[in-house]
Amino acid sequence: MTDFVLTRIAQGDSRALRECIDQFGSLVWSIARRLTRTRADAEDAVQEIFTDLWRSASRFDASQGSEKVFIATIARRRLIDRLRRSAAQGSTESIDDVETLTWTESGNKAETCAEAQTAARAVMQLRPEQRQVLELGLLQGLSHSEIADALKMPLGTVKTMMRRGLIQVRQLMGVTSVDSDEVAS
Amino acid sequence: MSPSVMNNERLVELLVQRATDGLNASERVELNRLLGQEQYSDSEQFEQTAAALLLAGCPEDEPLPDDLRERLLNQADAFATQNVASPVADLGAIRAQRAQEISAAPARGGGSKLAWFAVAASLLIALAGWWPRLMNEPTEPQVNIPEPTLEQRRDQLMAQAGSIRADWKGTEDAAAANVTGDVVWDPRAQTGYVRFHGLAANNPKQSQYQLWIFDKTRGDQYPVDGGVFDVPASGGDVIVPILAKLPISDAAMFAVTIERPGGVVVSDRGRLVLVAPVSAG
Repeated sequence: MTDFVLTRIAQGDSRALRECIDQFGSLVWSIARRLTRTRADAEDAVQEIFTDLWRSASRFDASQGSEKVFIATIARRRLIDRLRRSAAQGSTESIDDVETLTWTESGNKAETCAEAQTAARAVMQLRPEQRQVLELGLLQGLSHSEIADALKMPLGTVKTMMRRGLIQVRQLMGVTSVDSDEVAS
Repeated sequence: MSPSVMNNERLVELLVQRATDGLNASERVELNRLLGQEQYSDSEQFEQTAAALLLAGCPEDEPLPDDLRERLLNQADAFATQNVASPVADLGAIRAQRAQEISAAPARGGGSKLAWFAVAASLLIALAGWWPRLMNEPTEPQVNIPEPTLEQRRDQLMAQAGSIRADWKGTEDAAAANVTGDVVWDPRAQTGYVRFHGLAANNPKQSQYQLWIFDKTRGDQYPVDGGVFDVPASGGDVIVPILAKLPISDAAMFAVTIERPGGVVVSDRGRLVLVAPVSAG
């Protein structure tokens, strides 16, 4: 029997739906809190994300990555859409206080999956300004326009830095030893 | 070997935009068009990298609130009832198979054995799929009560006081030619079924049908996602349970679009196939 709860959901094991909540509820909630404006918004988002997860379970391929990364991918997709929709509606809801986060070499927690630890090491090799753009976008949930405003940068520059940063992190995650000068150039 | 998205600059631009800031409707259409041109194996790499970076920087430090967990568990039970047990019933195929079995029964001995072998093989395949579950179920006395079919569940729901029914109307989309069928929806139970006859079969690897529910209280711009589904090539009636992602206060119309596999969060309505307006009163 597979150990992957998503695989078991895809196979029709209804008990795996509940296990998925217990196993990944805290993760999804933490991500939702990070990328939504209010607690109520986060609660709605988490409910939508779990339905997305159960529906998408058959697309999980353990050879392509961990369950955590798959779940975080699905969660981010839903949350980005909600942020965009909220911006389009001109939401004026007050933002609940959330702490500012950044990356550290080892990731933020001992149980962080291997891909996240590798990603943390990779992002630390980027130029500080490039890392800051990724940080504001991926950890703080700011749109490209908001990042441009915050950093007093042209929007095109933000988009270019975001694209190059992600490509470089990807390359660094797949390459064991990369000259940091080459990355910074 | 699959081509890489990295060889197409515009594709990379759109994929990064999707991974970091989301896409608007026209960008979504453009991305789907570009992705449809080749079988890329690395089209999700930017979203996965962004997710790994999020995991690296976002501590999993807040437990799921108890009341939210309770709601999710209820949601899981509803999902299991509507999806896991019987995702799509192809009633035409089932009827055809039954008719074939019945007509084959008195035939020649060899044909009969072949038919029985086919039935036994399909039973073994079905058993294999559910074996992990069976192995873990507590052993309790089994009462053999047949599960109602989707057709029966739909009929039961339609008989409920307060349930509403609406007929599908095809658009000019080729997939909708000669489609008949209806929607049955119970506002109190927040459940329902859609039924189609003649809807074109889809290739789930390329596209899927997606159901939408327009709620008068939410406006036309943001219909509620009612789930994705497939139509097999075997023909016949297809019944699909509705899985509304959000509570529906006042259903005004149901619609079906064709979207990329897995469905979309917001449809660009580029291929709107069917609509079923709910009559007032």
